[in-house]
Amino acid sequence: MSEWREAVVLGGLLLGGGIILGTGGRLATLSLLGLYALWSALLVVFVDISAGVALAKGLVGLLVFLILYPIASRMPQGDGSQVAAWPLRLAMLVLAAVGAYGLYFRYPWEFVPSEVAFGVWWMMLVGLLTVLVSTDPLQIGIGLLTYELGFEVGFTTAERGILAAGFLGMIQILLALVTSYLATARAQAPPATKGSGEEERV
Amino acid sequence: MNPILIPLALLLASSLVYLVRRLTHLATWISILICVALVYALWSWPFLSQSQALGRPILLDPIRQVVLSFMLLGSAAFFLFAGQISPGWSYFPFLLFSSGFQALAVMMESLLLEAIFLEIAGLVLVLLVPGGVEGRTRGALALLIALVVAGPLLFGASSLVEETALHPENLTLVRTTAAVLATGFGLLLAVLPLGFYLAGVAYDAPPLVTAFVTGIYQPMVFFVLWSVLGRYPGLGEQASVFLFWGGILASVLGGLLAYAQRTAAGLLAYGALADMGVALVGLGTASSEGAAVAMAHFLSRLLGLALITMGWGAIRYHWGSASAELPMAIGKLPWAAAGYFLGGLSLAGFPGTVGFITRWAVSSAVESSYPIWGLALWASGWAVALGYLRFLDRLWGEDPELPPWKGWVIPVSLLALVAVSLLLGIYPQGIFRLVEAAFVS
Repeated sequence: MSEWREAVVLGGLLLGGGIILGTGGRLATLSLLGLYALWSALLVVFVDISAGVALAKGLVGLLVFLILYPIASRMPQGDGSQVAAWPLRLAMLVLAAVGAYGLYFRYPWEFVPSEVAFGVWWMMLVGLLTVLVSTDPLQIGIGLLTYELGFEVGFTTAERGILAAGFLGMIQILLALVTSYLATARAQAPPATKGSGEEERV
Repeated sequence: MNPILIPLALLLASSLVYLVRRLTHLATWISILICVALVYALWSWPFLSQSQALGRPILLDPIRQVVLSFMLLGSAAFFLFAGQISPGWSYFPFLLFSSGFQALAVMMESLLLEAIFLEIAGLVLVLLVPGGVEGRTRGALALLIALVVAGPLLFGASSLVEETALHPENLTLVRTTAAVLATGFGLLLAVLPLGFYLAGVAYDAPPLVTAFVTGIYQPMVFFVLWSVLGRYPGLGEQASVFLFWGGILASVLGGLLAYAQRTAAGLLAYGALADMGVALVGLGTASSEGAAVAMAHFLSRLLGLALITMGWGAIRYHWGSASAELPMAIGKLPWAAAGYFLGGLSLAGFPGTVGFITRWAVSSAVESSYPIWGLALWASGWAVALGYLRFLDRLWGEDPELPPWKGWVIPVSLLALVAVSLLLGIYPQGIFRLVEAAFVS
């Protein structure tokens, strides 16, 4: 079981890294799908949640991926749409890891296994920092989905009702739809609006 | 009869209207009719005041009847206006859909579901924001970030409030819960960070979308906050501190920022923020009178915001402009200029307007305990009023090439709103009696 735990933590760290570092959206979208799959499996193994709920969460992840990936694949990859350059994004990654570690000790989630609790903080911070360093709607949307997913993993252990899980899944699908709409609207913007300083400030 | 039928009717109507959205007149009238019919049903059909839906308690008491009627009638007025100067085909179905979830949030007695429904209602509104200026997504993204970051805070608070109810003696827990709750609602109300999404939305969205966000969505969020504090009185005292000082900060800084604005969008956003601060201070006084005044403030605020956005919307539509600026309009559209100007003064709480009386009540209550901050609330209103007075200069003038306005629906409805606003400014008891009756019941 301990190898499993190490693999899960390592997998979560790598996928979270993919979200912060992935410019252009394709890598970040794939990393997000990986996080959904990882956490669905993790909820069954560590939190003892019903397989049906975990499967539903996995399906929500798949749907989110299917909504976002076509948009991400049409976007120019690594076009510098993110304001932050590589060194800053790496620094953010380190900051997220250190912050998650600190929060994990300061505010451990009640009833949540330690690996999961660390992962929850890690994903929430990765999501928020991605939002902070991005200006592109797709990247911001992926960051928000990561933040929301991180929280949901921790919250599911306390609130196991199917109703809350269903509505939280609905929010994530709606968030993915809004993200794809905004990314498309931004991509179709006239050149003057697209690159203007006004647009860059969120 | 289960009151869940009301939000369900709105959600079903949104699907129907979506199918006919390209037939603007049909979509307009279906949307208006469903809103008016639901207001009639609210007051005449035998709905249960307490019932169950989705396994949780659902309420439809007199205060909720007033709040839902306010939401539906406000939406109907916006639909009527939108039918003439369409802000986009999606306006009608998306607003009905959002209203359905807002109605669910208002009636539910569970913080988790209230927060979920408010987030869903807000996410739908995000889709309407980029409709104003092609390709601009700044305002939509700011609103999206505020909604999504606030969501988990409120979901988490839903667990914390239950614990707080069980352990009211644990002051650390109570303070933490109050802080999390205030931060979540502060984000939704755009008080944290100061005016975060309001400015972006006002710049990018069509005026009627801005009007719905500030005039309908925010009051519904505010009502849910009031309802949560009422259900958990142990939290009330701690939360009141956050609300009171957050409201003072929002009002004072919002007023100063409003005065500094050079565009109609900026003035609207920060004027609305300053006004929101007044309502928060009312709720933060932790008295039933303060809460009643805060509710009345939202009724009057809707009138002010409707006048501003309808006047500004008509001017922009006639000029074919989608910018944040305000073109000169007094020559050809005096009724629109009058509506815009009066709405601005009302939002600022200028004497003689509908916004005055509630601002006066809150400022006077604060003045008795904190004289400086009471004066600061007055000053913030005057700063917003000066901002609008300065805009008179821009409204002045006439473009000879611009044709006169065609049609009578918009001018007549705007002038009717002007008359109602002035009448309620002179005779504010109308609003107070309505709110008082609902509170007493």
